Amino acid sequence: MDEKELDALLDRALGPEPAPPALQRRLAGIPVEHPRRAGLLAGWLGGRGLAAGGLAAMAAAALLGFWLGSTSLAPVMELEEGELVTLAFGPDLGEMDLP
Amino acid sequence: MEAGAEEEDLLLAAAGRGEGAAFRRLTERHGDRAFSVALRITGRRGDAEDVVQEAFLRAWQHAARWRPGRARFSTWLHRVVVNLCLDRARAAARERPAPMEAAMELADPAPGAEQRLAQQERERAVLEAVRALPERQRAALALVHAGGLGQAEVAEVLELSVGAVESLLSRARRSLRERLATAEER
Repeated sequence: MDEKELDALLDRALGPEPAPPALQRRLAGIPVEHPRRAGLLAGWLGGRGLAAGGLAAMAAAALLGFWLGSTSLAPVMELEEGELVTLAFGPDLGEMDLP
Repeated sequence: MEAGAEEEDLLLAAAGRGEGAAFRRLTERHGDRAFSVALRITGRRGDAEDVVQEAFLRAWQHAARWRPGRARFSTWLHRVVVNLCLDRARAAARERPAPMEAAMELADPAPGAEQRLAQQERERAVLEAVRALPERQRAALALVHAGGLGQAEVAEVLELSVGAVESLLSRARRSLRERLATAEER
């Protein structure tokens, strides 16, 4: 069998054929079954807005902290001398009611 | 870059923005050849369908990160298809070694055509011989004859030099000729 004959045979045996309709349906269904986020959010997820997103998150956290502090929703504990040690290491075991 | 490639870059950019219609254009354009390549490498329609679906799913998920003008979409797609096929073939070989004489599946024959049946017998012998080739040789033949790729693009897909692809194809054809001659002598 010469080169041309083999090539022709390979073209016939291995040549392209249409994808089965079931596969065509599966491929067409990919965007529906795996929806992508569109618009600004997609840009952010694609990495273009990561820096802007980080700055916005930092500003939001700062604003929330300022608001919590100014409205006393996060009370500041006023410690007396010696209390800090107790808070750090827990109450003296001798004072606890052990079973 | 060719006009077709530029158009595909636009379709991919649109798919990256979540436009399903643009993505479907890509599946219509490349689905048949991707399926044929996968079928000729795996030899099983079910596996080929799964591989092609997985490859296009990856294309959809990564479309937003596509960099236009750097490579052809068909090259990328075929590389993913070939790699998925080879992964499956290796996994299957670990589980159950494939018999060398296993026939690949052919398309349904046209009803009532005797000539077509005789031709199919010959094609079946070719497919059996192809199935017995080492997987890289089989992939190279599938990319040329089922995918319609030139040797330069096959080299890109397989990440080889053009010379290495020529050598791969030459060894594959020599091996096929020997196997077919042996089969005809029987």
